[in-house]
Amino acid sequence: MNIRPLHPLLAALALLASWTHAVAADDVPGIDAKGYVRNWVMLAPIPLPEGAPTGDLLMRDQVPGEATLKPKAGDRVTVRGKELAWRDVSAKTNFMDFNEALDSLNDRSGGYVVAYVEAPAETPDVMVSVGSNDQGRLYFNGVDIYAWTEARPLVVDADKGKVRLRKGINVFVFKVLNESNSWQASLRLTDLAGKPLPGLRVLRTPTPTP
Amino acid sequence: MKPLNWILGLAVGGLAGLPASAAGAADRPLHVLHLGPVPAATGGRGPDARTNYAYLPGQTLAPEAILFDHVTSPTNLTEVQLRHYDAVVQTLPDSGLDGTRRAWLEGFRKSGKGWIQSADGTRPTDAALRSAVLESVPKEAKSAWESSLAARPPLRRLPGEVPNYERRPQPVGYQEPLSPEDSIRYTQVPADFELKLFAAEPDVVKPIWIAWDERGRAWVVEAKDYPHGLVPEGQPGKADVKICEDTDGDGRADRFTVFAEGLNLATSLVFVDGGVLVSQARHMLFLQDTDGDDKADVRRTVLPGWGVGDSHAMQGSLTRGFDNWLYGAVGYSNFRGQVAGRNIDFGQGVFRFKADGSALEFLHQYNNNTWGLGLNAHGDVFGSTANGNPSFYGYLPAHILNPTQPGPGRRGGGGGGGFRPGYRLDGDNSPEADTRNVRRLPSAKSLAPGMRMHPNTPNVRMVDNFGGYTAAAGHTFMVSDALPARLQGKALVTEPTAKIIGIMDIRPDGGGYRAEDGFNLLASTDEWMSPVHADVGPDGAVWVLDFYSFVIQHNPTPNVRSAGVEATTGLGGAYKTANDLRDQTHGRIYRIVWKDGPRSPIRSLASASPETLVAALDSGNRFWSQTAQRLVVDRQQSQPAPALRKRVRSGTGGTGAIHALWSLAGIGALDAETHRKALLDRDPAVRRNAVRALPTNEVGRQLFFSSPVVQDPDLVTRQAAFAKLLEFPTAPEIRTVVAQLQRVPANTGDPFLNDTLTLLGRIHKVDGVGENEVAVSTGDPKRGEALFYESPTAACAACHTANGRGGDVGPILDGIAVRADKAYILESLMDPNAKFAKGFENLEISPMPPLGAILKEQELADVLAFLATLTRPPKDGNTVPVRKTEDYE
Repeated sequence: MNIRPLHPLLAALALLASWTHAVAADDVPGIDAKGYVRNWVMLAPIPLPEGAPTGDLLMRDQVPGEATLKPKAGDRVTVRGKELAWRDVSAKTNFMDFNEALDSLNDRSGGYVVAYVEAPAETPDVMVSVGSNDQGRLYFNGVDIYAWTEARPLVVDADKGKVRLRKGINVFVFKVLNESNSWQASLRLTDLAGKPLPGLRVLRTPTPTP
Repeated sequence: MKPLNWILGLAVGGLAGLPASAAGAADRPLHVLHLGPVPAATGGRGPDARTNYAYLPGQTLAPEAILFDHVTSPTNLTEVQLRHYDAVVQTLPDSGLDGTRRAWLEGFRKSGKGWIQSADGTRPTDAALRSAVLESVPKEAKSAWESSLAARPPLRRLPGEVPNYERRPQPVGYQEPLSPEDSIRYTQVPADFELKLFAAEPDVVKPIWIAWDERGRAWVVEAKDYPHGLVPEGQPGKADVKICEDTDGDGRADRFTVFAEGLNLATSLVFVDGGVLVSQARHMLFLQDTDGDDKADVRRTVLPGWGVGDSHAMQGSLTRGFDNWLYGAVGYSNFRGQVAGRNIDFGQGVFRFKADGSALEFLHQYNNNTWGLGLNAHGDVFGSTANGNPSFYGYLPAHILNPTQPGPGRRGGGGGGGFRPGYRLDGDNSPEADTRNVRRLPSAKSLAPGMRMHPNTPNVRMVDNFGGYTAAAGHTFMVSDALPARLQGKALVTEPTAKIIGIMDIRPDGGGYRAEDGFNLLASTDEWMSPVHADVGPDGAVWVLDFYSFVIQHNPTPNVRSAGVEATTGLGGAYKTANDLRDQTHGRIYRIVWKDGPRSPIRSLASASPETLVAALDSGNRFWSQTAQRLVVDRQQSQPAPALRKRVRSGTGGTGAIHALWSLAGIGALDAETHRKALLDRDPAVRRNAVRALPTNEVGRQLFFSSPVVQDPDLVTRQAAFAKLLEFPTAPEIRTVVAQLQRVPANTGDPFLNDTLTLLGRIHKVDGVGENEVAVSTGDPKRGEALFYESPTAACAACHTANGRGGDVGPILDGIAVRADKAYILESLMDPNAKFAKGFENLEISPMPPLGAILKEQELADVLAFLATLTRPPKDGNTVPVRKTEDYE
């Protein structure tokens, strides 16, 4: 894919498109019928320093305390001199496409998507299926549970693990780095047989539903 | 202790019986034998903790050519060796001497030499010892000693800024380099050895590696572009490979031929497939001379993917394994690449690979820059790293182990990672298991944590781990028929920081090994001498590569505050001062030759017949036995097969049988019957190698279970059998065996066997095997404090200050408990590269080792508990160490 600089007008349109994208976010279910998380709070693009291997950068915090992030749309953070804002985004399909959400190509960049999964009750044996393009690191309720340090194309459900959801809010922080071209992530929650879990909701903030 | 407590054996007789080696030389140092235990040094505390090694008088008397050798047990002392000394200092109780050795010592005294006995076994002051020695030695010896002092030039100091991490009141000055001859005068080898120059600048410059071909010719890698000389891919570097020949047999090289030049940051070479494979920046390089002019005319890149982030952390130490794979070591520059379609990513440990790049396996993970790599007489794998780890033993395969490990640092198993234990969707992992309680297994175990060095100069310059090994650059074994029995099988650890070659006395210990302090084979007062590699050569002597550089420290980059010198970080991560004192023009190669010994009888195997090659497998010099195996395997000739089978089946064991076994495997001629015989050989080392040589297919599995190796009486061999079980596919009978092995107390009571059992349980999914979980109670801040300040392996306080005590390399930790959460601190301890503290953001790579690989889980919890008490920030709020400039005024 060719990469070319955006014309300022196009950039403004892109920003607008991005905004409308965000406005439309809640039109899409937070989690779809197959268990893919659709609603996220996103921080991107974070420029990655030249020279350092991307796999190494994955294993370093790009934002301080990334394991325990609990952002909401509008929160601002400065990373390597660049101010960024968290914003709500929704995936159009069963994976989150960072470039699409940003409406730009972002080589050598990193980003976070955060999902607040509300469970109606403690739920053991929840299968977590993840995919990333390229490197991905997933934190679950503050615990580093998954890392993939190599560049790769997206395969949804590429890796499967299991967690126990606690009653109420569970926080998934998914860091995804992009070396070049496509930049995507997928996260799916099901039971061990691959069936969707009833009653799960994905919220925009860590505040439980009253 | 007072001198009065010493009984001086004064020279009362003549010089009858005094050998020429001690009496005849008109210009020589005094040689004193210390007979008794080597006192354990403390170090790490007090105002002079960074400069006082507090052991025996190497730092005080060796600089004036009063040289001490050390024999801890009198049974290791021979009469021939005794004759080389001018005096003996005995701290051993008289009851520790048998009649024979007492008689030798009586004769020694009667010949006019000194026998100084400690009345209570304690060590006197160095001044008292000096007086006692000088009073006791023969007049002629003293006269020769005085002549030697007069003959050698003084160590002169030149202008130049030298980092003073040791906080000396007066920084060490820049020493003027010495000629090779004068450097020898300042360098000690055992009294019954001689240090002989083989080559020096300008013929050889910055030698970093040596290997010998089948003609016995030395091939030397010259690292002329270390440390800042990295060039872009495709451009020529300044390193080369040089053939150094002694054509007239006088022990000195007289013909030098550049085999290949334009190499970049080359670190080592190994002979393979009719050429050499060189480790260098970014990849290996196969070089071959096809027309016989000793110039490489074939140049082929092999195995790309080696990192160049730090030029003293790259891959090197290439060696042929007994198993016909090529072995190497790599530091934190890491490997990241694709081999046979698989992504592989690892660093800081030992690896093996096929010469054509078709396979690569990470073998043994350690926690630091790994440089040294050596195989003992039986092919077991050892190595050494930076920062307090002069010897480790590799016993679990990292490429199998690492994917089962908890927490950060999951690399090494191929692929890009995955879910951590406790969150995997396989086996019986509970999703909510506290993964901190999953026991972290080492794939290599440090054998000498905290071992102190014994330098011969008071001017050792170090950054951290003061007094301990910090740059253990080489780790090879003395397997040579031209060396005395007391050294056979012991390991040589080159330490350029302290100007020594240390000896590790490595002995079997249950299912693994332990190391004891074997003192030195070489120690120099010349502060330029920098032994970076030593190995047994074709003549059976120990050859030493002396990088000959006053500045050998690579990093960290000093500044006025930390070391009194301002510097910048150059390409490759090595520091650079304005008046760059890094040398690019010197280098020496020496041989350390046993005066009373023969030289190895084999001169060349270049045109050896198959029969001669098979016979050479039994050479007492491991260089020749390995060379014979190499030639058999690389030539892929079938003629030697019958003789090789006969040797293996002879039942007499020995290294010849081991090399014959692997030779057969290497030419594809190891039949099941021969293999079965080897598995039942009376020599445990043959059985061990037979286990390792088993294929992982059905034939191998059947052979394995047709022998009793899982209950081998030799526990090192039993551990190798357990490790082989890791490689077989999981099957019901293997799971049954694994479960049964747990019931044998000897297996669970031995740490090496128990670790292997634990991994077997994980791999073959058998519950309750080994010790997969560890009970961790709430951290104890008191224990954590003790670990922080006193643990020789973790050595936290060597770099970090807390409560006003500690080092100035890393961030000040006062207030860490309030400026970082527990998760941050834990991750920083487990994976120091995960985050860089404020003020250290520009570091590419943290010099701190991951403590998860050093500390036990409880110890880690204790250190965390101590750090949680550090709630009060530094008074000035500055967490970056600041040295008071007045210290330098």
